[in-house]
Amino acid sequence: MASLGQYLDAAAHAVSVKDSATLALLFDVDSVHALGAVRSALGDRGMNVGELCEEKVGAYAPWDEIFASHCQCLGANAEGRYDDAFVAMQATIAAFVKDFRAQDTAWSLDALMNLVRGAVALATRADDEAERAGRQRKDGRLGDAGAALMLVYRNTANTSVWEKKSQCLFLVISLFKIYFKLNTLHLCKNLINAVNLPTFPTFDTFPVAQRVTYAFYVGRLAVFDDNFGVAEQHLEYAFRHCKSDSRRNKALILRYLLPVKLLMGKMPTAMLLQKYGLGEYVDVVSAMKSGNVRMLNDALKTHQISFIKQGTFLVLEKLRNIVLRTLFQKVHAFSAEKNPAKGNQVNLHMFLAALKWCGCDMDIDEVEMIMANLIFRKFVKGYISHKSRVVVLAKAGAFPAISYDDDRPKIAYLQN
Amino acid sequence: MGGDDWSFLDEEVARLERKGGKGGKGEGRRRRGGGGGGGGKRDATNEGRDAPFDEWSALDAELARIEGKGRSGRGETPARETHRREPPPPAHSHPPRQQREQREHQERQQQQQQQQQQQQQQQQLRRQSPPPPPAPKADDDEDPATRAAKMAERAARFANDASTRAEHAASNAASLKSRLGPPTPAPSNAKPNRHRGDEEHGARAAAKATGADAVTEDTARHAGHALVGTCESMCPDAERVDRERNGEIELFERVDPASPSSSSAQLCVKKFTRVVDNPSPSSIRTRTALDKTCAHLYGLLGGRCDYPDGEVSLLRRSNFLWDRLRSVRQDMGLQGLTAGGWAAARLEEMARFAIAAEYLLCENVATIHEPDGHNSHLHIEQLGKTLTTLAAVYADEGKNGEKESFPNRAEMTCYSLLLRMDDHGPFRNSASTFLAVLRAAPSDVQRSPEVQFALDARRAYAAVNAPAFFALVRSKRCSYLQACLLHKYFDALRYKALELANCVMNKSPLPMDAVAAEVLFEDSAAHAAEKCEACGLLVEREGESLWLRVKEAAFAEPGVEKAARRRRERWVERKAPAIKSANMFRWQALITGKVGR
Repeated sequence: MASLGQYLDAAAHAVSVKDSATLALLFDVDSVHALGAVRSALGDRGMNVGELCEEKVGAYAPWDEIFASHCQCLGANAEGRYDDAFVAMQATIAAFVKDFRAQDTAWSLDALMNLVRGAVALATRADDEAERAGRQRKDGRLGDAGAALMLVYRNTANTSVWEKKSQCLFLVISLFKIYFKLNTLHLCKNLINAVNLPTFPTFDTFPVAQRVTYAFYVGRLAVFDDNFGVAEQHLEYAFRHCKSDSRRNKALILRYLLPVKLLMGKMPTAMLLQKYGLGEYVDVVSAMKSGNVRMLNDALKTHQISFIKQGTFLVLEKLRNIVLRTLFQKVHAFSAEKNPAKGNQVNLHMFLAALKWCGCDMDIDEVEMIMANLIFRKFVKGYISHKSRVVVLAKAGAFPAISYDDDRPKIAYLQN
Repeated sequence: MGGDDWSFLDEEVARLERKGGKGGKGEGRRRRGGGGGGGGKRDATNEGRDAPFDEWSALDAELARIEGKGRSGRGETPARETHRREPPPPAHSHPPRQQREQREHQERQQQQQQQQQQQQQQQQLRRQSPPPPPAPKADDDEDPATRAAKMAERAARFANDASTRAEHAASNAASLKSRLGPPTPAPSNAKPNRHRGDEEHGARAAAKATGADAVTEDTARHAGHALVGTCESMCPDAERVDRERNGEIELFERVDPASPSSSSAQLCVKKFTRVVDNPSPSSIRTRTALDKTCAHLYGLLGGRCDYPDGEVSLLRRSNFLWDRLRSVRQDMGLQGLTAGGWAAARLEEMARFAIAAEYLLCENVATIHEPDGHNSHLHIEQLGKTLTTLAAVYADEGKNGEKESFPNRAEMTCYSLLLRMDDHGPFRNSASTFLAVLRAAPSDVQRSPEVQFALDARRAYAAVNAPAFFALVRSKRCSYLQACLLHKYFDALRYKALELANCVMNKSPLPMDAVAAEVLFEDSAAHAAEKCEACGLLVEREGESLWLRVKEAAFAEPGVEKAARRRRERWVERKAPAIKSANMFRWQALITGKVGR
């Protein structure tokens, strides 16, 4: 479409016959056609966009307005004024949604999704522009984009027209991405509740890519809330269903799945770590296998900055309990061998010596406290005699399997 | 998520539009139904208003309304209206706007922006302060309440209205309007508060407690340099005269300690009040006045931390300072003096004072019987806000062009982290709030010894490792102020340790001395026994000695009423920058950061 006039003609035609695909194409902010059409318009000083829109598309009442603001948006985008473009996009979306709400079929849904994508893209560009110009308004536009998306979501979800809901998951994950970027994680909870509502379409009706993304974000949120059982289920689902050729996505999922699995006591193979480039975990894993507390401390310290950036640092600190337990198991085995008669008793001083050998300098009180924690959190079963500084282990099942909220039922929609 | 709470806005808008439609400056229909570009979701839901809407006439009407009657404190509403009345220039569909016209508008706006900046610079030069940071310096993610306030990009002053600054924005608009020729509608970005949460739940809980307060103090900074204070004394004369007349002069401001109606310019300090109206510049203090005020206030603390009964207690001094420092912060915010080393220094001083006071007054808790006691909740809330604003000041650095270095950033980040290690009192914290503060800091701060100390402290606390925790407190790595903050968690940790011991030890009675020394790290067996009993554990008395009967009763987390009151403890006292024998406490050095950090 070489000229804006042609563009608008095509638009008018698309609207009149309710041509979903063409309309979607026309609303794509970065499409070549749009760019071409607008470029020509920019050069033409005599052109009056509003009038032209009214003339060409005026027959279809709200669409002339929608297209007018969309043209503004395209123009601003072409000239690199992303902030203006975003603001124009907000207007377009608002007008579009108004019309969409009234429609009883979902023919313009694809176009709406393109607008949503465009809004997010423009917001990001606008924020980058602001950042570069030094205007301190970090992520201002992205928040506005979030608000616009919420509006779209509300209009696509609260409707009796089934097809309108088909993009709901896409909107949810777009919103997740925005909230994660803005670090306003508490807003995600409402979205999850909405997805779990019975009125939400069945999980399986959505494309795999969206399901994987959704499971990924929900898993991450669960990790932040210490809900490891839930986290494991979601992240495992995401990993399983993620296509093997998207290596980067798999690595991303694994980056959060790994700490969860480690907390469950399940170790990855060295090959897995190498395949997905997760070198930071190599030392961590070997420390866990050998029970070397010092090695764990060092590993966590070395990669501290990157763990903090990923948000996994605090979670990995919990691994210490498992490492201590492993060490204690070795101490117990050694002690039982030396003194088979008192096989289920371990002197805390022996544990202290082992810890010292690992490089951890502690006093006996601290060792006793650590032991108390292990027993309290059910990593070890037994009791402590304070006077004699001895741990008496249970005769059977002294080292129970590690589990977190196991009594919860498996999550239904993740079972396949 | 609920957009329905904004329904009152619909009525407001309808009313304003009716007014706007009647007046009119004949600029033609610039908007039709398209609504304002700024304002995100709210605009969208109020879409579809096809009435002709001319922002200039509406602004006139608004102005008339404001000037006519006093403001009735509905600060929020009109602000949002003004936002919505200013559509972005290129975004508007209808009335035929040639692209050329748009470009000309932009040029004009840029000119105005330059004009405005020049103006500001002149003002600043007059006040002899460093060049102001570029006008919009919102760092919204940090401050919950400031979400509502946004600086418009495009120069026009009237777009400046933060949510509560509607009034002075309107007055600015009036003055600007006369100066500018054609109207230059600017995109304004009122952001609905709910969509932008913030990462600090503690601060949010605090903000909820005093919503409007948070808005006035911290939002105002984003209203930008809307105000320039002119009051050169610690208290504006008008206020002083008023209070003298009403007999409201407080003890520290009195010329004659017995009479509450006489004060002097050297003693009177501006009180904190919520700002609802357009405050006049003469009631806002200048930078030098604020410096003077702070120095005077800290001087009031005297040289001791404990005053004998005949003298004014630390409690009273601290309460007075709490209020007056809040006012200082408000004045700083109103004038946008919240950037750069000066602001950081003032805020850091306030933070250090708050931390020390919080510890020193921990025994004078406010209760129903003693309502004037130390209100820990309010102090911690203010501390949280101060640290948040401080974090924003730190984060803004570098945007001026010159990279300012903040030597105390690591220290303050450490305090922020220690504050968020766990729930305390009404403030809920969790791993994510802690992590958020940690992640916001640049990596050199993350590597600093202070932040590493905070991480170690948290590790020991989360692992319920009382020996390690108290060893950390005792060690040289822990400064006085850090110990003051950690003191909040002492008892919580002890109860957890007690729970552990009760569950995990074998069933033989333990001597309370051992419990005190090794489990609870308490000074005496008596205190240890008190804690045990508060948890519902059985304590047995055998003549002189106390025994804890382990495992014979279920552990019950002591609620607020039963929990033993906090006491000052030797762990912290040992580090105090004080000369015990002479009962001297080095307040000045502590506050300015020379000692105790």
